Amino acid sequence: MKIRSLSLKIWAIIITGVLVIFLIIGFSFFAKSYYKNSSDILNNLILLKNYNNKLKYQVLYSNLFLYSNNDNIAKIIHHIRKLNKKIDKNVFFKKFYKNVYEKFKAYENEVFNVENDIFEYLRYNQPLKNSLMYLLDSIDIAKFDKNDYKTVLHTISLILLYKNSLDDDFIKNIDLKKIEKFKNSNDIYEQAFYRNLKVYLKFLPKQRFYLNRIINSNLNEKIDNTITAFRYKLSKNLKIFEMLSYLLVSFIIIILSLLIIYIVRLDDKIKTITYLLEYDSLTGLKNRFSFKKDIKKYNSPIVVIFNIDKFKNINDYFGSNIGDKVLKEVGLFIEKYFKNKKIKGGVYRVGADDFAFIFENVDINDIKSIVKDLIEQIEIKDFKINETIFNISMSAGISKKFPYLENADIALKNIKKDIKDKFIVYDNKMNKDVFLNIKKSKEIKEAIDNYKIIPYYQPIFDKEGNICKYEVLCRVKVKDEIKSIYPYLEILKENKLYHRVTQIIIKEAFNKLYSNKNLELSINLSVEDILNKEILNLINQCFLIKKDISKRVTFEILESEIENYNEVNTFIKVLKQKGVKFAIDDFGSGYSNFNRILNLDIDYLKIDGSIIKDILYSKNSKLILETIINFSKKADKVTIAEFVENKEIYDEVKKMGIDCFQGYYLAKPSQNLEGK
Amino acid sequence: MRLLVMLIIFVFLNAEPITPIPLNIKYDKEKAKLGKLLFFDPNFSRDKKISCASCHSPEFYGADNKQFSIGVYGQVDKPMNSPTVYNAVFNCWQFWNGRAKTLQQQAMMANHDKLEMDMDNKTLEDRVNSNNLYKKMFFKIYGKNYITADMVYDAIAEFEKTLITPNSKFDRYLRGDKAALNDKEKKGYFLFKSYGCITCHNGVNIGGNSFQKIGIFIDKIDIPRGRDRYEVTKNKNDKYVYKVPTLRNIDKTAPYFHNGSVKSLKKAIYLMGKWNLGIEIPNKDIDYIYLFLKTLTGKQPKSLDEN
Repeated sequence: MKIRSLSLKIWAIIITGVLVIFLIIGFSFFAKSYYKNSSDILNNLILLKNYNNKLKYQVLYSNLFLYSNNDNIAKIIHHIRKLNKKIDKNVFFKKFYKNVYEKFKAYENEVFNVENDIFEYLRYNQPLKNSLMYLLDSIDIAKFDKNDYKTVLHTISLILLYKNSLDDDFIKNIDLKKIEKFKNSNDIYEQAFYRNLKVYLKFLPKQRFYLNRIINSNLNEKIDNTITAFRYKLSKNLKIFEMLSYLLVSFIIIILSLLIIYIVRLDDKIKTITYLLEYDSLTGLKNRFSFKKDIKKYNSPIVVIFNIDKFKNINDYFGSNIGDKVLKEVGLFIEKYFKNKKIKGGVYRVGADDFAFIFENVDINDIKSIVKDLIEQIEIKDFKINETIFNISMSAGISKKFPYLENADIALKNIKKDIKDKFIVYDNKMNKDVFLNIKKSKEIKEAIDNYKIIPYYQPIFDKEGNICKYEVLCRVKVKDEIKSIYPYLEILKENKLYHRVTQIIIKEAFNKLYSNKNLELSINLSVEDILNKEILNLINQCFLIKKDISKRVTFEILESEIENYNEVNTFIKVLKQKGVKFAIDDFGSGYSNFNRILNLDIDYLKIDGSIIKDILYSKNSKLILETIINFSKKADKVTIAEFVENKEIYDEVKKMGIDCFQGYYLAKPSQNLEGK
Repeated sequence: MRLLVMLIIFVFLNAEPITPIPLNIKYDKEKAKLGKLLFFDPNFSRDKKISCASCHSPEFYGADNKQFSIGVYGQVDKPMNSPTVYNAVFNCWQFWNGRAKTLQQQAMMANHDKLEMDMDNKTLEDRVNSNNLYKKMFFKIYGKNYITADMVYDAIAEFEKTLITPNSKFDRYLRGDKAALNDKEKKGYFLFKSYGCITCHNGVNIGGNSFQKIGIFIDKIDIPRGRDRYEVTKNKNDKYVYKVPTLRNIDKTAPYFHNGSVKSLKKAIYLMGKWNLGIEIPNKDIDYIYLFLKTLTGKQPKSLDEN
């Protein structure tokens, strides 16, 4: 769910990002083309304005000078026309500058008017020039007499004065009456003078009229209006563009900040995840994963695994909270130890109560002494947790060979078997156990799944030689061969299959009890079984099926296994009320606690086989046996001797006062009930 | 563009209101070659007998030696005399009344005119598109498979750009070769200016750049109006107003005036003096002006000899 929402976020960012990119590209394209088109139009408008001025200049020029090249006026008119057409055709202009376009149209109209005025003007202007030229020339050509000569000269000078001042008063002063006489003169040149003057005076006001119209035309005003409106609109639109670009930029900033925030968070998460991946959250030490990663960096490492002895007990007795604190403290202690010793390398927590250390370039003998020292240091340290002082002991497995961790682990397991040494270096022989274990585990699984767990029954005799009951023993059929369950016990516990075997045996045993009225059976229960709810339920159910069956059942419990005395005690008390009897198995091996045994309310003591076997030769064994027999007589417990292998032993223990006997000498275990 | 205008204006700020024809003009060679074929092709008239060259013949310096040209089906193209196509590119307007602004428009209008070629775009396109040679050439230049009428007129106009007659004696004189004109011709030019001809006949084409009324100094003109400026502007003052014709190659392009009513150039000079300058120019002056006008004849365009 979380991952999905994250990816949605990412998608949202990506999509928005892509959209914004497209927006920016689109916007910039639009803005570019808008700007280009606008500046094109603006340039053309300004060009038009220039042409307007040139046009006026050329018109004025043609007014002032006798010689003027009409190409110039015509060319400018054509240029203006062309530009107008170009601007007029511009779709962009009409679309984005509608109001301005209307102003431009007004200008175009004005151009049209001015153009017509120019044609008119030129039509009056050219004859004026011709006439002026003739009037000036006529002084030489015509045969004016002396009186007229003055008049003619005066007339011409008035015209010239007018031409240079553009003041109509000079023209008004021309006395036409004095000129009239040339109309019908005999001299064609005098006639021509008259005609030219008439034409001049006729055309002059018209030429003046059109010239003024052209010079005072609104062309510039109109084009200025257009340009101003255009610039105003352009700047307005550019402002909008600016706003848009700000918007886009802020968009980008927002997206970027979102991304940055996201990445920072992601980075944080990655760091946390990496930490969690590589570090053990409880102790803060590197974990097994890190170990496997780091070990590859070493050329010839030597790995040590420290294991806290019987850590499970701490957890069981004090709870996992305290257990966790112990682990933390121990971990810290180990880490500090190596730091103080200035030995490079990290401490790893590679299992529940396993700490590993990688040595590089340290001699194996030095390592041994370091490990030994560390273990001693740990053992003398008082770990104070919640006002309780814990004394911890550790064992260590050392491995020089790949796979380091597994090998060190194997070495460690070998230590546990041998309590004397606190550490051991792995060698290849140890590995055989591993293969054996794998083989065994396969075998036992196959046996459980295929009903090859078979109960055997070994009779127990009283002093008179009668069978008082049978002990139920567990046998396994492996490849058509019946084997003892003992070699498989560890594996069973390791694989959590132990209870299933117990359940099978219990069911079989009770079936035997149901079908044989007077049969009594002694069934082995481990402490683990007693603590297991399923097994307890099964036992209770079995008792419910047939009343009084409980009186024919004895449970044998291994004394060395008993740690949770309270629970075991409760169990015994409850079942004792139903008439069930209890035996302590292998009594006398290890430390037998007489006091506790007394408290447990036991009926039988099964003496450990090793004592019985040595009874003929070992004074110690004899002494122990005598002690036990004395004790049980006083404590009112029945003694049972196992491993009665021959007549000599049988006679000896019988003589010493044992109550019941079990052993190959008397009867071997078998699938059937002997003598029943 | 602006620079060009500036240059033109600067050039013209000197005393001479006449400028020589440029020796070379920019044009598209391929397009002009195609235009030349079209120009001489009679298939683009209704009866397939009249080409552009029929009335604008190189033989008569781009004009017609008749008063009125002959159009399709033998019609007489009254009442206007065919002006020269030579240097038409320098005219500011085309036709006697300036109804066309560009060479393309002129080609189109002449082509559509009932009395001249009597065509329409559709017929023209059908005919030109059925010719594989044209199709190939047009495709090469315009990159289009279908030839439109506009393309035809465009190509013709491109060819007409090449019909210029530079390097006349007078042009060489203008360019600074003062020996290009003899004394009589120089005197003719002086009279041309002093009588006032120059006020209308100026610019590169010595005309073709303004509209003027014929017969200012006479009350009633006795030649038919024909298609004058009034047709274009509908301005009553524009009756008897025509485009001032070019004087380039004027000696070779008789008859004269808008209706071809005058056969001799000297008479045309005389009438212009009488009608438009209010003066009867004496014969010796007319002779000088005539000699000057003859120096305005240039060489036949090069493009006519090229294939």
